[in-house]
Amino acid sequence: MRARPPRAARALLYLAAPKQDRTFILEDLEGEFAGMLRQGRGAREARRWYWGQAMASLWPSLRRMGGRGRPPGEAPSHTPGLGLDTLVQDLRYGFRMLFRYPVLSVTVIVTLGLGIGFTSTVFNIVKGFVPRELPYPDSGRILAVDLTKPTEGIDDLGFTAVDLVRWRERQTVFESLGAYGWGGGNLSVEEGRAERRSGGFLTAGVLEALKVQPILGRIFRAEEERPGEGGVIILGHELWQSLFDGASDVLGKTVYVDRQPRTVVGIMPEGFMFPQTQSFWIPLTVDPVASGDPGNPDRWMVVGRLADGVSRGRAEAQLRSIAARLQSEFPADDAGVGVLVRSLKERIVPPQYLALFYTMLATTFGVLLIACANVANLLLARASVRTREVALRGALGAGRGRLVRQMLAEVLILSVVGGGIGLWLGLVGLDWFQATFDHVMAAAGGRADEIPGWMTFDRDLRAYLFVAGATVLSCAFAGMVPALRASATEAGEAIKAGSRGSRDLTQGRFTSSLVVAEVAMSCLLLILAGLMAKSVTQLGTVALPWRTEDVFTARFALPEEEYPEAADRSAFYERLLGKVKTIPGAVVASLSDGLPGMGHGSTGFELEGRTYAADEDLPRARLGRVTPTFFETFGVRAVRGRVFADADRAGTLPVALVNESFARTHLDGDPLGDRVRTGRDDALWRTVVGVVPDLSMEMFGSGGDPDGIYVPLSQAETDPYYTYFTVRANGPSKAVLTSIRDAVGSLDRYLPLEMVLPMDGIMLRLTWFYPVFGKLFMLFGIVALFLGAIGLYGVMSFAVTQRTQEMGVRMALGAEGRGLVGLVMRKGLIQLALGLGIGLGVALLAAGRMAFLMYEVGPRDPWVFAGVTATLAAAALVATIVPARRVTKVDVVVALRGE
Amino acid sequence: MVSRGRWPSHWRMFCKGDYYSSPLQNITVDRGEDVSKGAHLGEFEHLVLLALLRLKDDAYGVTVRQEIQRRAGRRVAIGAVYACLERLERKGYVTAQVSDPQPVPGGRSRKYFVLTSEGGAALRRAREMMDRMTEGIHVDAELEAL
Repeated sequence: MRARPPRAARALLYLAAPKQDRTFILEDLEGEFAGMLRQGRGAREARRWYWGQAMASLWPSLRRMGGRGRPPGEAPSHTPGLGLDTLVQDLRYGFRMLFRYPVLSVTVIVTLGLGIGFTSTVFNIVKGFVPRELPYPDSGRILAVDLTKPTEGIDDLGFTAVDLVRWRERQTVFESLGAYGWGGGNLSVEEGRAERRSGGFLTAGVLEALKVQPILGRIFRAEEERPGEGGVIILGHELWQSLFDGASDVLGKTVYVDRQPRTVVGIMPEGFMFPQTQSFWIPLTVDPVASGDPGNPDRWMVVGRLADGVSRGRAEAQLRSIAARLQSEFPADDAGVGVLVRSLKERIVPPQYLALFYTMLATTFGVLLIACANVANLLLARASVRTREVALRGALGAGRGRLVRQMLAEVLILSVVGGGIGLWLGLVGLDWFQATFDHVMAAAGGRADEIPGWMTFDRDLRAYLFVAGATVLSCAFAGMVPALRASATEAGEAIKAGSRGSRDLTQGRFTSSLVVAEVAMSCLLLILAGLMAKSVTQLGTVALPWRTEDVFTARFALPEEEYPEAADRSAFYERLLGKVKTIPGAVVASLSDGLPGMGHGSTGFELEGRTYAADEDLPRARLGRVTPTFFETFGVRAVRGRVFADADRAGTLPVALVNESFARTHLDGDPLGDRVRTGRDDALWRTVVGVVPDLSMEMFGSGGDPDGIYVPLSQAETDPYYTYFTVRANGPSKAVLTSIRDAVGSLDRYLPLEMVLPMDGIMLRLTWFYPVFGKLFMLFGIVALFLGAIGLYGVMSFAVTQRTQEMGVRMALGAEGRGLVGLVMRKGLIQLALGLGIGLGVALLAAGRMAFLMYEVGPRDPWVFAGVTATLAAAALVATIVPARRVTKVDVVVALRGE
Repeated sequence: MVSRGRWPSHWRMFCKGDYYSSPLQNITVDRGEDVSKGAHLGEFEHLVLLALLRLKDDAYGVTVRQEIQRRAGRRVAIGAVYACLERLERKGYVTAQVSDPQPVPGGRSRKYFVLTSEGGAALRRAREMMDRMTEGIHVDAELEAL
C-alpha cells in the first residue's frame, strides 16, 4: 500500500494554515512527499520530512493570522476560517476584555479556582477512603458468600466446617472457594521478644481466589487445612521487615504464634492486608468433626472467584438452589438457612461508611454547582452590558459565529486561569488533608499496619481532569448562552436602547433563577457544615464523666496455655497491681475488661423478683469486670452507695454496681440491696451495693449510654479475653508508658502488650473522624458562604450598575438616595427569601439522614438553622446595599450620561 | 527608477527628482514614493523574489521552496514561503494567479506567483544598495584579512 503523509501533521497544517492558501500548501507538500517516495527516499524519511515541514510552517502561519508581517497601516484581512484562523486575535481580544472588567474577571477566576480545587480535593479524599476497586486482579469477579437466617434477621451467618465441605462438594460456579477468619496473636521469632498482631486464618482457596502472588515462597496448599498439617505461616511485608529486616532467606525460618512454632513459607507483597489490616496468615483448619463447641461451632467468612464464563447471576442461581437442597437434605442443620452473594468490596467496606462518603461527595458537587452558577450569572450579567457593543460589531460586518467565538475565547481564558488555580488548590488541599490525617493517627498511636492497604490518598489526575473538564464545559455553556443572545440582537434595536441596561433591568428569569438556586444551595451546605462544626466543637468541649488526664493504659491477653486456671490469672493480676509502685508518679492502678468509651461486653440478666419465660426474654445490659480501684483510677465516685472494695473478692458476698441508666430503667426507688444475676440458674445472685455514673459502656459516640452492671474481677464467673491495665500517674508520659511495659515484662517477658497509650490517645482513636473531617466540613461552610456571597454580590453589583442611567433620571426628577436604595434592594431580598425558603426546606430533610454523624447535636438544631439564615441574609444585604449606595453617590450628570 | 550603474556618492546625495536621500532621515526615496521602512526587502523576501525571477512562469510554492534550498542551501518551510509571498503580494511586488486544474487524472490547480514591476524595482534597489555598500572595497580580500 502506498505510504501517505502522516494524518496528524496534515491535520495540524490544516488548522494552522490560512484558508486562502490551505489547499495549496497541503497539495504542495503532498506532491513533494510523493516525489520523495518516487526517488526511493523511503516512507519513514518522507514522513519525518513532512512533520518537519508541518512544524516549521506553524509559526509563520500563526503570525499571518495574528496580523504580523503586514505593512503598517494595513488593516488585517478578514479571512474567517476554521480552527486557529482567528484564534490568536480572539484570545488577544479576550485578554483585553478581561482587563476591562478586572473585578468581574478576578471574581470568576477565584470562583472557578475554589470550586475546582475544593471538589477535586474532596473527590481524592473520598477515593482514598472508599476504594473504587479492591487491589486484587479482576476484583469484580471475587464474591463474598454468606449464609442467612431471614426469620432471625441474620444476613451474615458464617460457614461452619461442615457447611464448607457440603457447599464445596455441590458448587461448580467458583474456580476457587475459601473460608477465612481473623484474630489477634502473639508473635515472636525467638523465645523472648513478642508483639501482638492481627492475623488471618485462611484456607488455600482464599489466596487462590484473590490471585495475589507472594513475592517470596508460596501460598497455602489444600492439605494444610487438615488437622495437624497447618504448621506454616505467611508473613505480610511490613511484619517481614519488622521481624527479619526484610532478609531474603526468611523462607523456612520459624515464627512463634502464641508460642506455637510455625514455618515461614511465603511473604506477601507490600500493601496486602486481607481482609482488612492483617499482618500474617496461617492455615484455617477445617475439621467437620471437631470445630469448636458443637452447640456453637466456629464460623467463618467465605469468598470465591467466579469460574471463567460464569456470570454473577448464574452463580447466585446455583447457590440458591444448593441452599434449597441442603434445607431438605439436612433439615436439622439447615432449616431456614438461605444464601446471600455480594461483591467482596461490599463486605469489606460497610454500607454506612459508603453512604457517608458519597454524601460528602454529593455535597461537594453542590459547591461546584454553586461555583458554576456564579460564573454563569456573572457572564450573563456582563454580556447584557455588552449587548450594544456586540450588536454594533455585528452591524459592521462581524459574523455571528465570529462574535460567539470571541466571547467563548474570553470564557476560555477565564477557565484556563481558574482551572490552573483550582489544580494548584487541589494539590495543596490533598497534601493538607494527608498531613492532618497522619498527625491525628500519630497522636492516636496508630501504626501503619492498622490502616487498610487500599486506603491511600493519591493525586488522581483523572479526578482533576474530570472536575476541571466539567467546569470548563459548564463555563463554555454559560458563556455561549449570553454570546448567542447578544449576537442575535438586532443592531438597530440595541443601538436605539437609550439606557445601556434598561432592557436588562429585570436581569432575565434565567439569572434570577440562578441566584435563587445559589442561595438555596449555599443555605443547605452551610447548615450541614454548621451541624458538623457544632459536633466538632461539642466534642472539644464535652466534659467526660471520667478522667483522661494523667491516665495511661495498656492491653494484653493472657494465653490460656500459660494461665490455664483462674487462680493463675488472679495471681498474675495481683502481682501486676503490686507493680504500680515502680511506675513514676503512679497514684493508683486498676484492671478491667474494658475502658470508658471503649465499651464492655454485654450479657443477659435477671432481676430478683421478676419472672422471665425463656432465655430470649432476658433483658440485656453491658457487663464490666473491674478491680476495686477502677473507679478511683478514672476519678469516678459512686452516686449512691459505694464502689467496690478490697473485701469484695472471691468467696465473699457477691456484689454488683449498676450505672445510672440501669437504675433508672430497671430499678424503682432505692436500688441498694436489690439483687441481680448475669445469666440464669447457675449464675450468682449479686447484691447491688452502689450506683455509679454512666461511663459510656458502649463505644463512645455510638449514641446514648447503655444500661450497665459492674462486678468485681475477682468475683467474675468468666475471665475476660482482653485485660486493660490502667494507671493514673503524674510522671512524664513517655516514662510512664515505658514503666508499664517494664512492669508487665518483669512478670512475663513473653507477654506482648498492645494499645499502650495515654487515655487521651484512646479517646482520639474513637473520635478521629471529627478532628480530621471537622475541619473539612468547616471549610465546606466557608467556601459555600464565600461563593454564595460572591455570587450575590457580583450579580447584584452588575445589575445595579446597569441601572446607573435610570438612577440618574430618578435623581434628576427628585428621588432621594434612600428611596433608590430601597428600590434596588427589593429585588435582591425577594430572591434571598425564595432561596432561603427552598434551602431550609431541603436542609430539614437532608440533615435527618446525616444525624448519625453528629455528636450531641440534633439534626434540626435551631441555633444552627438560625445562624445560617442570619449569615446569608447579612451577606445578601451587603451584596445589595453596597452597590446601590455607590450608584446613588455618583454625580447626576454622569449618571444620566450612562457612563 | 533612474539610477543605473554606480554613481559617485556625493552625486547621489544631492540629486533630485528621481532619486534623493535625506542625510537627516537616512531614507532613500525613489520617484517621490515614500519608501519607508516596510519597503526595504528582508533577506528572505529577497531570496523569494530572486527565485521568482529565475523560475519565471513556473513559480509556485514547491518550486520556490526547492529553488531556494538548491541555490541558497537554505531549508525553508512551505508555510514560510507562502507567508512571505502573501507579504510580497500585499506590497505589490508579486501577483498571484490560480491556474486551471492540470489536464491529468487527479490534476489540481496551482497558485502561481509572478514578479511585478514594483517587485523588480525593489530587487533593483536592493542590488544597488548592496553595490553602494561594497563600492570601493574588495570584499573577499577584506574578509580574508579579518
